[in-house]
Amino acid sequence: MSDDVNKDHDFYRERISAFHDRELSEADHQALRDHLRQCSDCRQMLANLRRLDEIVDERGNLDGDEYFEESARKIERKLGFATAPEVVDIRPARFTGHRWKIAAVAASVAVLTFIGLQHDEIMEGIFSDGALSEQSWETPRGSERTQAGRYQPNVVPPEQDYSPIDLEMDVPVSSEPVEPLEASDESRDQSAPLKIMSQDIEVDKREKKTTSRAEDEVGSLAEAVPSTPSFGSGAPQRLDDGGTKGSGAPNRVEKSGVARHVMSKEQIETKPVSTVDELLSDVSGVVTSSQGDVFIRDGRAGEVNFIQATDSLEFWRVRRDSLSGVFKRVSEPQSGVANKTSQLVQSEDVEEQSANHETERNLVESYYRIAILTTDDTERMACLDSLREHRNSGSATNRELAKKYLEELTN
Amino acid sequence: MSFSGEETAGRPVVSFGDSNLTEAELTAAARSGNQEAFGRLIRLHQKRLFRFVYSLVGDFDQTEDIVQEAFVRAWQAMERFETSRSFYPWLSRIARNLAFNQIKSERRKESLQKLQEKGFEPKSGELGPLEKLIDDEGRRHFFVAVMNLPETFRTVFVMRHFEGLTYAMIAEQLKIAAGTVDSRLFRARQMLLDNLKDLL
Repeated sequence: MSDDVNKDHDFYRERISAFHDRELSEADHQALRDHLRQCSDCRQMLANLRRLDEIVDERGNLDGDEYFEESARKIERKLGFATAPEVVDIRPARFTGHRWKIAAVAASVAVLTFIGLQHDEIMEGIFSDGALSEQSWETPRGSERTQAGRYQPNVVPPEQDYSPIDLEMDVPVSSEPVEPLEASDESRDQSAPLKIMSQDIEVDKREKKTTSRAEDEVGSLAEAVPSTPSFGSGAPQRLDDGGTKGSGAPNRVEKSGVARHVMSKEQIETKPVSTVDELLSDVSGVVTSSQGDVFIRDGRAGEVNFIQATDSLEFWRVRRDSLSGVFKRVSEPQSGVANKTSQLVQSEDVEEQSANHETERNLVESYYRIAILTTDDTERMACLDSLREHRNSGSATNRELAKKYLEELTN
Repeated sequence: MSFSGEETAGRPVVSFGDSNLTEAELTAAARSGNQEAFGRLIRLHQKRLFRFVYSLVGDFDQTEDIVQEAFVRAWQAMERFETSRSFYPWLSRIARNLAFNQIKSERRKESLQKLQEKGFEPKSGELGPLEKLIDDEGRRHFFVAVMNLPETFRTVFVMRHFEGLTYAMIAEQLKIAAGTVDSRLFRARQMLLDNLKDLL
């Protein structure tokens, strides 16, 4: 390399990148071309840049087709596009169509007829051969004791419905990802009983996850929320803690799927109430005990209505609304989770900070629970958006919690 | 493109079947409110958009959110889209703005975050959740090298290489001089060449 070339080498070398992209002026471009003729280092650099372009083309693409298809569906759901509910047909091919139904009905009739005709012999054979001693077996549920001291199982009446749908949940379910909570009741094909709507399976799976999460990860939250809310059964349940036990059975009224109990003021006042609960009572008229019971004041003297967590979705909605009110109030006049967090962090009162973080944590938990339970896609998306907001801008510990929930809900 | 079927709620029903429509035809249909056409545009561009956004923000969850939000905003603004132009650059611009806003927000939060979390550490060179979108070892190697670039260099690199923007366009977007784009890109390329020597 000559001295002239050396002198300008660094200058030109730094412009090879722009030369390669054709971003130099005409004069500079020509000057660099002249330099390249004399400088092997710069020629090598230019060759490397061209190779880098090839590498980007060869290796710069992502795979993950399944992920991106699912992602596209998520976007479509978010946009409210019409998408058909995903139906998982768990039957082997040979069990499809009417043949299977006819065969199942015929088999049921045959078995029941046989039992009816041979009833005496069957019972005699079972209970008189000594294989089952009276002392060794417990009273079977639904059985009656005969005059001879034997337990005689009730014969199932022939009109009992043995439709194949009873078998659904005993069949192994595909682990393939399914569309969460998309199908409406109207869209279900009632004529195909062995088809399981994927949302049913999903809810069932999520319930198990939820329970374990509450126990394993949230830890102390178990004290603040009902341990196992009922999922859509609609049947009222009694709580086992001291809230509903004690002096006399509460006067229960069912309304909109929520079992309401009326408790005396004294009963309420003896219940332990946490800092967060006190905050709740201030803003919304809702009081929760540390056992997770929810009370709603109804204005009647000396009494409050007690909402038992039998309808868990309703429970979590009440809880979300109450907590979001508290959380909003804490942060006013600022808005946005980031500002709320900022204010929480700036607070010098450690106890207050702790209570506020707990409020946020319970709020995050509420969004998560509602997203699992609701069949309203708009509500679910709103919960996911709220979780994202907390994941991006919440307090440090609650960001992690929101992130975990989001991963669980979106995977 | 042939429209078939009837009008539903004021929106033309288009049956695409297996027909191969051009992007211009898809955007025209999407602009008139056709959901299937927009669904196809999502599938056509989301991978590229994801790669771009991820390269900017470096966080999988945030990338998911931004990509989703970009498509939502694009759909909402579809009526204003000029069909004579390409769809992707328009979409990419929406995503880029969202990503930059996110980055700015992160920076504002950073000092607070450092106060909250003692021992804050910068991201490592590992890909994290992005790995599940890369089957090939060679690609993984490449993406690790890209993600290891300092943020300012990486941003310029992906805008040039993944999005094909000119220096002037990058300068305008980042509000820096074109000469700065040139020098940052040169440094980014040098670093990558050093890290990818075995591929040269």
